[in-house]
Amino acid sequence: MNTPRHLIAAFILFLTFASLSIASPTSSGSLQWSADKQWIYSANLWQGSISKVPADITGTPNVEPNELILGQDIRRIAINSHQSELLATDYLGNEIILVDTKNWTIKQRITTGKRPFGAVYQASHNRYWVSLFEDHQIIAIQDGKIVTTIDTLETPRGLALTSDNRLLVTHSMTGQLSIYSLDNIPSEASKIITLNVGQHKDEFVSQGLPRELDDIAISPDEKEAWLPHVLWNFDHEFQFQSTVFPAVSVIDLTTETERVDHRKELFKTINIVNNKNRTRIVSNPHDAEFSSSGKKLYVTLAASDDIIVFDRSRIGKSNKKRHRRKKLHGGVKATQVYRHTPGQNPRGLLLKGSHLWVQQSIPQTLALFDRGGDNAFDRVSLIEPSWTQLATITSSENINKGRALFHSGNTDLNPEHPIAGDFWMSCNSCHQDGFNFTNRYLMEAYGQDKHQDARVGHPGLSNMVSGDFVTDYVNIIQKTQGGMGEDDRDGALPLKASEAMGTIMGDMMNLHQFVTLPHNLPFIATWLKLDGEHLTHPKAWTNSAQCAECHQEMFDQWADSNHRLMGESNPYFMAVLNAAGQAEGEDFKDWCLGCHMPSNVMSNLPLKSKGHMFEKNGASLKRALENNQADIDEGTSCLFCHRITDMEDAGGNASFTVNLIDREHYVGETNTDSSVMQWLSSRQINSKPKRHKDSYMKSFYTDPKLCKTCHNEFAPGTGALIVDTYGEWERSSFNNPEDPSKHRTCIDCHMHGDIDRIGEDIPGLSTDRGTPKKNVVTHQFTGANHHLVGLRNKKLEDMSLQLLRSSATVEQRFESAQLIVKITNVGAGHDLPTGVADFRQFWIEVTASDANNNIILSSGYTDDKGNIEANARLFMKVFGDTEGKPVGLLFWRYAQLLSDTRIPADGFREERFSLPSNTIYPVTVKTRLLYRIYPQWVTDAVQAGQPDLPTPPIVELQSLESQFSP
Amino acid sequence: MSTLQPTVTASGTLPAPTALKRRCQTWISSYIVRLAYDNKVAEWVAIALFLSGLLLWDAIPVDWVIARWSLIFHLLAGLIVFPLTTGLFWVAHRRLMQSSDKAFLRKTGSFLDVIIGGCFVSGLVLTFLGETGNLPSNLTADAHWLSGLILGPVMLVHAWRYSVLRFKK
Repeated sequence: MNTPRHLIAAFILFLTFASLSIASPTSSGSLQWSADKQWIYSANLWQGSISKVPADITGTPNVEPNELILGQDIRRIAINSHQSELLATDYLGNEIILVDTKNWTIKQRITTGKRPFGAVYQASHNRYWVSLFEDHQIIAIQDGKIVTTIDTLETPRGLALTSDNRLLVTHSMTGQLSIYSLDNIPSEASKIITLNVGQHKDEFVSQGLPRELDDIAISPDEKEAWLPHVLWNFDHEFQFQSTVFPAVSVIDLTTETERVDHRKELFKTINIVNNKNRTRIVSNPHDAEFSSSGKKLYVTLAASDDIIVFDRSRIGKSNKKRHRRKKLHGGVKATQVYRHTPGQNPRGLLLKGSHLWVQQSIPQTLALFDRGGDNAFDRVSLIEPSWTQLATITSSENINKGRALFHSGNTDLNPEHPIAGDFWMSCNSCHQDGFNFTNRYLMEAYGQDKHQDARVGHPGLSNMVSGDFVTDYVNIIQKTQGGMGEDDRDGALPLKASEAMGTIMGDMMNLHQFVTLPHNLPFIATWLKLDGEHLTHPKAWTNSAQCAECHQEMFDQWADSNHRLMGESNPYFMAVLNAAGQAEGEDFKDWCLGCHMPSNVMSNLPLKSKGHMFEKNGASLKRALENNQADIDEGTSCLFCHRITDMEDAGGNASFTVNLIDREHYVGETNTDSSVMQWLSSRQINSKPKRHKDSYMKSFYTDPKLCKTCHNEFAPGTGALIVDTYGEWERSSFNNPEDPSKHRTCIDCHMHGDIDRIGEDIPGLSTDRGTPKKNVVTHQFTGANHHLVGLRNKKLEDMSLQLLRSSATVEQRFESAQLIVKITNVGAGHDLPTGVADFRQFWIEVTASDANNNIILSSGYTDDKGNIEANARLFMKVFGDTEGKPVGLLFWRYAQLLSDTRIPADGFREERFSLPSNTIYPVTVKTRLLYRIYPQWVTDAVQAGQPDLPTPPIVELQSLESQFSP
Repeated sequence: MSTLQPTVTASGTLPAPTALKRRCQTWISSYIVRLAYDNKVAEWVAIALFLSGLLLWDAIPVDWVIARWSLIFHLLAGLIVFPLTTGLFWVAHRRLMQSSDKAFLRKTGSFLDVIIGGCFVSGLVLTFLGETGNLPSNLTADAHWLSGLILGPVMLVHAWRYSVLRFKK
């Protein structure tokens, strides 16, 4: 009698265990189930914590969460199959944390590369996979160790794992999906899918580059992967509802190809209208989740605060009579836009039966919904707006409000003064997670003609954001997002940006507080960041003269260089700095100071009234050291450069992080007031220098991208690329790591002790009586500004001129009664000239005389006042403002490129001159390639304020004389 | 003509300054004789230097928070305390050691002479000239490391019978 019962029981047990043990697809998410679906785990993002909540919907709602603080910014979690361990990624803390889920305690912290984001657990091999967003890697963690690191395409972010051990990785900023086979440890992706980039003549049609691919949803039958993302279309000026579009792409996992015509373009294509008969606009698709049957798909819309529901019940049914759209879109149709979630910024989703939980990241709550079911006409309805509080909000109310504004595109939240018009987009639609290295991808997505419009970002700024941030925030919201009255169809009131008052002013202040958080733009105008401190104390800056105790030669090289005296002691810089302050506001000066006087910015110290343009050998520094006084030097001091502990490739503008506090001090080293302690610390460094050396050296110091952080510049707010020296080099033959004999990085030429021997190793010492080095990197920072450095050091001036003379060659020929002068950029490794705008004068002076010695042609001469004649052939770029007028000194107002006659690396320019028809041959032609560091009109302006500034000479770089007959 | 001060007074006693000098010399002589047998402080200092030096060895992974204090201790103790304790003891002890009728003590003692001297001098060089990275400084650092490493065990072998580490006597 009992046998059938036993059999049935055994069968049920088998089914239970089988269902647990059979692998199912998993995807990285900020909400996760425990294996038995009895607990909900959440990554609480910027609250830096995780929580676990019993998923008992019959119990009392608003149960207290069990929150565990882990770090700074917990983005994703993954749980092992035994439910004993949870892995969390700390996005800003650069570590992963293993948590004992039973005791709810931290088991282990593992330092990773930069910005760990996605996490999935691979049950078959008992290991986790984590994506490192900024380091472009995925790593495997097993038994508490990183067992594998795989270099990937750029910006890996979302992760998902199929039951047949394929790992799907989204590349968030390049619009790609990599697929790795995980049966063995892979070295590279088995398949790379580049998502389709659509283009359309009509700018208001959804199109562009797929970006911000945070998450992946795999259908239960594992035939499809759905990727929510946005599209960037920056091939025209940023304007309302034409540059960013929401979309969900569909990948066929059987053929591992994109189903291009199945992509869900969510901009004006959803057949759901609002009460004004307009198609509903949604923004920032973030996470997606299938129902267990696969018939429904739910996607959170993080900016417009919505949930969109797709009905897939008709998918795959062949019926030739079906509607065209159904055929085209694979039978999947958006059936509902749940507007709005009760809390702002919906992100993670979880489904169980007929219930749907949605993580609302601004209030840090979980909302509970009734899904309705899997039928096409079932609708989502709200059960509990705040089913539970996931985390305690620790940031201030103002910052939280600012964060909410940054992530919001919800017009309904403030109908009179909305942050966005028509629910279109949020700041986060472009500035993913704030202001960080992803900025570079915005600039790379620029697709306009620079001669028409050089701006990547926000047009119509009043004072480049930092000069008057309230006005410019309103400007940005209006002109970029259609908010603050720009789009008034939903009742928004008109607003003049400069007249923002009251609550709007308060909102903008809150937004500013968020924007200036340490991980964003703490100094707003510059991308400079200070790790661990708000500001530094002036005495924290070790006087560089102290370093001379052991690094005398390096100090001497640097002390007279332009890398030191490039602030108060550079009268040209000061003239432009003052012009910047007058034109845009004092705070805008930080944009310049971030590179020219970073220590002052970080210590918030005013500039000195007078510099030391003529000072030799760091005399003022030595004096300060003798008198035990702090001396925050201008330029890049020893400590400043050698305590750059992190750099972001954000496109320039001082995008690096300085850390003065976390270095491994010797006892007494920071006590700069005591000579005895200083002496003692020197003795300690002397006797055990390894820690000292390790504290001041980072592997990326030889990476040209470090130079890029200051030698590339973009205009704050508009994003116009002002200087692209790095890009010019990157595109040149000098960037050739495959062939070391031809490869020349910045330091190979500009930090080389012998210009004649560039390309050769120069043995030497960087420490007195130190280790002999095969090639010593010197610190003269030889560059084009020979004039100012020459006021202090003749040798450095000669090196500069030598470098300049090695940059170009001149040839001339006679062809069809025309003189052709060819200037070839053979040695610069970047454009000639590179740098800001029309400050470097680089031109040819041509003199042709006939057989009777009469001058028949002259070009490039200067007048009595030193101004180059108007018809001279200069090699330069000229920036124009929005009206097409030259910007002059205010080069940050660059909006269009008026002309560009610079000579690219490896390139040449040919200048043609016609000779008179009655020329008596032979003709003697003398051509000189000339260079002047600043135009005369600039020097005149600067000398008005600093009369002791000598006038820069015109330097002959090359000269050639030839005779031609017809 | 100069008048010489009498060296002995009529009563047959020395003048006060000379007597004080003599008394000091006698005290120092007797102190040195006593010091030659008083190894405790000298040994503790040597052991402390040995251990603090070990913490500075790269092969031993010690957190810098500890190592930095170990370094300053090692440096100051080696510079000030060591000469006044272990150094003096060894000066006093050398005569005893050299006159020992035990060949083992004489041999290990002579070896310690060289090791202590080498370790101290190389330590001074490292402190004042530094381990800058060139060949002489590297050899000095190696000499300090090696002599320091040998010093501890040899010292214990030399006089284990009297060592402060021999708790059960």
